[in-house]
Formats: sequence, C-alpha cells, structure tokens
Amino acid sequence: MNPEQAAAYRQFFSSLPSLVTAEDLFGILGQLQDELGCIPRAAIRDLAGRAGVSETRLFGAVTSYPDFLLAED
Amino acid sequence: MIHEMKRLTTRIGAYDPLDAAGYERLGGFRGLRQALSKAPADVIGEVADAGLQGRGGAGFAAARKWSFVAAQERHPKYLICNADEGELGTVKDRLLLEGDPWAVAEGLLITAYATGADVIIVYIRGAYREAFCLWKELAERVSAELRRPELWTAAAGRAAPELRVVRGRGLYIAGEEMALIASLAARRPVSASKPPYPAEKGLFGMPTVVHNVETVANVPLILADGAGEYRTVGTEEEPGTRLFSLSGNIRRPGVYELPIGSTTLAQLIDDLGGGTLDGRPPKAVQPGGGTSALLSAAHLNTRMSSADLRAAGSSAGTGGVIVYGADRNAVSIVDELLGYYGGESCGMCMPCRVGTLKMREIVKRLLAGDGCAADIGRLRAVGETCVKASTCGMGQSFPLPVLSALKLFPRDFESLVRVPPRTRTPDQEQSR
Repeated sequence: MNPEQAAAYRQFFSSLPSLVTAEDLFGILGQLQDELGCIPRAAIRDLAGRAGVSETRLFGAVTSYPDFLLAED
Repeated sequence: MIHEMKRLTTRIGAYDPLDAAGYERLGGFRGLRQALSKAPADVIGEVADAGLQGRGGAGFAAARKWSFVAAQERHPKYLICNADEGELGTVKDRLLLEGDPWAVAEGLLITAYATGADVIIVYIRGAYREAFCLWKELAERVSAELRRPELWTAAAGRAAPELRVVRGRGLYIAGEEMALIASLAARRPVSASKPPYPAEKGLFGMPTVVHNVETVANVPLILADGAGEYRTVGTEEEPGTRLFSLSGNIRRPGVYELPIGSTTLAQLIDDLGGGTLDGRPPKAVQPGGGTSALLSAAHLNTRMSSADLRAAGSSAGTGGVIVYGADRNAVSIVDELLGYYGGESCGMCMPCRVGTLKMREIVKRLLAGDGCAADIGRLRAVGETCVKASTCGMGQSFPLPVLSALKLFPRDFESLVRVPPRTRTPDQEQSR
C-alpha cells in the first residue's frame, strides 16, 4: 500500500459510523476496494474490531474473492 | 420457421431503463396494483396456479418458496434477487437487468408483498458494471415511486421494503444460494448443506427467499393478466416462456425468448441462431449452461422443456445453450469446462474440492499423450463420486458434461490413450 492509499484509508475509516454491524461489512469492503483499489490488511483488523466479528472470519471472506485485493500495510 | 414470443423481453429498448413513467405507459405496474388489491395469500395462490418455476437452474416452484417464508413470524425477512449470473453461456439476466429493470423491480415488490419481506437485496455480478450502476440509481427511484400512495403505502398497509443493491466480487460460487447468503453476511462464500433451508434460517438467521432474475421478471405478468392467461403458453408442467442464451459455434448468438417446450433444439439453433458457422450439424450442445450434460447431434430433435431435456439425458438448467462445432474433440471441450469450474470450487466439501482437480489432471494427461486406458475409468469414477457426494449444485453438476462426453463420444477419449500401462517409466508411475 502506498502512502496515498494509507492516508485515504485512514480518512475512510475515520468517516465510518462508530457502530458497524456485520450486516454492513460486505458493502464497506466493496466500497474500500472501489475507492482505494485494494483492501488494506489494517482494515480487516479495524473492521472486525468495530463490528465485533473475528478477524479470521473477515480475512477468510476477503481472500475468497478474485476482485478483492488484499494489501499488506 | 419459428419465431420468438416476447413476453419478458417485449419492453426491452422501448423505454429509458430509468424512466418509471415510460415503463408505466407500456403497461408497467399493472401487476403490482393487482397484487396490492389482494391479500398476500391470494397473490401466492395466483402464482401457484400459474405454476411458476425457478429459472436459475434448480426449477423449484416459486409459490412454495413464498409460502414457506410467508408462514414465518420473525422479522426482518429478506428477499434476495440473485443476479450473480456466472454460469457459462448464460447472459439472460443481464438483458433483463439492463433492458427492463422496472419489470424486475416490480416483480421483487410483488414478491416482497406476498412474502412479507422487509428488505430486498439485488446481488449483481461484479462484471456487470453497467447493470450495477443502473440499479444503484434505480433503487432511489423505486423508493420514490413507492411513496406514491396508490402504489404501496395505502394498499399494502405497511412500510415499503428497502431496496439494496450489492455488487458481487467475481466469484462463481457466490451465485449459489447458500454461498450467496454467506457472502452477504461477510463470511467465506461457501455452500452449506440443507436443511435448514433459507426460508427458515437464511441471511443473518432470518427467513429469506432467494430468486433468480428471470423468475422474478415473470411475476408481474402473472399478476397483471392472471394465471389462466399465463398458462396459455408453455407446457402443462412448465408454463410460460424462457430466455435461451445461444452461444458458441453459431451464426447469430444472442438471447431468444420462446414458449417452453414449443421448439426443438434444432429449431433454436437453425431458425433463430442461423445454424453453425460451417453449416454442419454441431458435434455437441449443452442446453442448460456450462454444467449441463452434453447432447449429441442425435438429440437435436429434443424439445426445449425440462422434462424433454431430462429424458434426453441433460437438463434445462439456466437456459444457456452452448453449441460446439462438428470438428471439436470432446476431450478438449471438457478440458475447457474443467478449466473454468476447476478454479471455482469453494473447497468446502471434499468431493468437489479434490474432484475438480483430479478430473482436470486426468484430462490434461490424456491431451498431453501421457494417459493410459485406466485413466478413462478413473475419470468416470471421480466424476460419479462428485455427483453423488458433493454438497451443492455446482459439485453435483460440474462432472455431468464429462460423464456425458464419456458416454456419447468414447472414441475421442480412447484415441488419446497413448501409453499402455506396462511401458510407463518409473518416473511416470511415481507422478501418478
């Protein structure tokens, strides 16, 4: 992930509502991919924490799709 | 010479896809108005009388799904429109989504009214970018239309359902009912064994009904003109029309709408499709998408209905008719198909996870000239195991083209056997 993407991600995450439910996650991941061109590794940690689901579950979901690109921090 | 019968496709190109008024001028919303003037149970009854069956491949009776969900007390109930059209050779849903989206939306609203669904989710295949963008805009217009009192509020006596549009992310298996539900819940999109059925425990554990786009597009027709009128075309067991996506070695590929059972495969290919490119009869045809069993030229007089295609040894599936030219080798056909499905197994159940890989290995070996006679038996055995032991529709059906090819064109496989077992080198033996 380049610095630009990292900054864009920080802004994206700070604009999310404080309560995120599991219902919103697939949409948020899609939004991230469309806006940043990738899904930062940190987003899995952050979103899992905020929605109260396990990180492994979200990692498993994200890495299943060819159109989701996981980017290391 | 046969002609198309346009029921679902009659409005395509006749109005701006975002223009609700244009849709209404062409007879739109008549079905929804009719539905709202009845009790939900009567709407289900009308669809049951019409005998509407799912058009996504499994062919389950729509009204039965509806009544299961309607009987559930828990809310919110979800209605999912499966527009993750990933089956090889199938493009009919895209045509409806982009060409007559209001009819799909109207069908969804009627379904939501009948089943009591609170949330409608349209899950659109990732590659259908135009359709997704259009539906994003359409969703807002639908909620605006629903504020018109005569269209929902006063008649339905409850809040209008919320319409959400979700974009798929390029995974074939996400189009399978259970995997689709897992996908929307941000879980790994893998299939699951049933029961519990989605009607009872679906998305987020709530009652859920999942329908293919074409199924939903039929609903307004049934309500607008009644089940009797709907049944005037098609067969007794399978009323209505179907969209056939014609592709492969064909002069005029495209989507054609025909009354179910009225035409033969040969008429579809020759009269509507203009015949094969070289004019010779095709080597093989898949009548129901990439996972349906192959039919040979001897089956071309089969009528295009589920019952007739089943009797011929294949299935109506998604209506994706793929034509293979006369000079094709059956082994190269199945190699192509396995190449696609081999990469799409979700890995949840063992037969499909291992079977896709093993079958592909054997076919590659045959094509490379390293196959032995026993490989043909192995290919059949692995395929039959997958059909019997896999959890979902994909695992149960991806081997069908291979098994049918082994039956219809055994010479194609046998002629590729090069290495008699005894002359194999120790290296080849080890790599086996």
